[in-house]
Amino acid sequence: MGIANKQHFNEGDIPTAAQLNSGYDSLATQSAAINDNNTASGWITGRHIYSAAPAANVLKSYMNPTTTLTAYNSTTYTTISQGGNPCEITLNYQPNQWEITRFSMSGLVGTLECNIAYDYVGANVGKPNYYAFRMLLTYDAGAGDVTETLGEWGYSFTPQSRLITETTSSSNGTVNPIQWQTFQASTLRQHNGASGAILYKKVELQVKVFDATNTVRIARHQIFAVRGLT
Amino acid sequence: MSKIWTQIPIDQFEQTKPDTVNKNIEAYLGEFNGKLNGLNMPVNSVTIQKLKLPQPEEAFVSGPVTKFNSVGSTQGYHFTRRTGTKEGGLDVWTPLTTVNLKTDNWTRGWNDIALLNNWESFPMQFEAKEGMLIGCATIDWHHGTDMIKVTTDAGSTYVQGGFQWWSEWGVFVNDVLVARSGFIYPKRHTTQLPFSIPCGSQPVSITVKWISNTGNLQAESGYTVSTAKPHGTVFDIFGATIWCRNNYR
Repeated sequence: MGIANKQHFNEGDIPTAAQLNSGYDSLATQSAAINDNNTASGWITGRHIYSAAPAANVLKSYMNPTTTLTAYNSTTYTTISQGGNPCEITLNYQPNQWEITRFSMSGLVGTLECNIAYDYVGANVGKPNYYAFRMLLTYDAGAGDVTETLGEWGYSFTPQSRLITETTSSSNGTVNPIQWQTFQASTLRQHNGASGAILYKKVELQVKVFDATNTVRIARHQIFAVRGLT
Repeated sequence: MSKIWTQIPIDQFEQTKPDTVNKNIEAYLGEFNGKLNGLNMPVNSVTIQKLKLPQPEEAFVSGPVTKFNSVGSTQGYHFTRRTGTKEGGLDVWTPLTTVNLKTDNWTRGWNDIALLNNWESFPMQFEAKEGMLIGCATIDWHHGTDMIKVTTDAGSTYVQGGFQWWSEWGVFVNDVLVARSGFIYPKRHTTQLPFSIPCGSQPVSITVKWISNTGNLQAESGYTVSTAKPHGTVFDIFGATIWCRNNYR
């Protein structure tokens, strides 16, 4: 338990050699098993933690501060890419059991093209008004690459309610799309398997629209992954 | 406080008394038995291998709300999520929860998301350790404009309005508002609310609440409504997530 004991001597005692040595022997034994019993509250500070290789958190990031607008109108998720640079982070590490990785993304939507926002009927009423982002993780658990959607998050081209179905609006005319706004989201992933059981390979930022006649244009964009080691 | 010096120096030919053999070793053992601190440890010497790896404090929770946590040596992560695409089995275009602002119950003040059906267990609750709570709420939601059919001199037509209506989200830690979005005018928006607040070693409850300033388009428009065909101004929630990092002091 880390607690070292000794014989206490009183006046007139004639200690044996073993009794005299007991405190030192106990210290020698217990010093190999130091635990919470030996340490004071708040005994360690940040300066004691090895700083050359981060012990608690590791940050990985991709940032593209471009002002160039790249257009996307795919109805399936497409990795955001500008100038041949996909928005992705090569992770290439094996998480420990229960390790948390924090993923976040953000960027700037520029000019939009909204040709259809509200003239759908039935189950798809209002949906053409939407575009969405997702973060996609690729990992290998020993049987090849597997992808996992970390989260999906949506935005609308216009301010309209999804229930509006008429195409006319006498007092307001055409509703302009909401342009030049930021997008952002974050989430966590916990590795529930054994330490080293899987290899995180990469995480990507992707975008899609509901209706291909609408176009979203994206300028700067960034993605972050923070390992919470302990 | 952990520096110990020799209590009773022993000199040559000095008479030995009980204190001579008790006090020195007792002082050193006393330091070892509970007083070791940073002065005993060289700086820059603790590596990840010396720190205990994170462990969950509570079991993984699935169902209408997903919850997990992982508590390590320097920080603890806590997570709660309910989204259409993960927990609801829906696509990203379909709302998970809808509040009809014309017919459902809601208040002009803060509306706790936990009052909505299937959101009851969404608030994050855990035992925090003294330090900081650093986190972020992410809410994917939509509150749009409204449209009514009205009669004018030229006949009946549709009028859209409500562009000035706004809604707002806030993060509450133990019922104290620690982050708010400010007014967000009609649109679907994924709102991120980062927050940071000191905490003690105490129970913590974190939730998100919304407030909405939505009017009555029929009254605001000034027109006579010719056909009772309200589209209904709805407050849609596609999903919400809170993560919190308890960074220990």
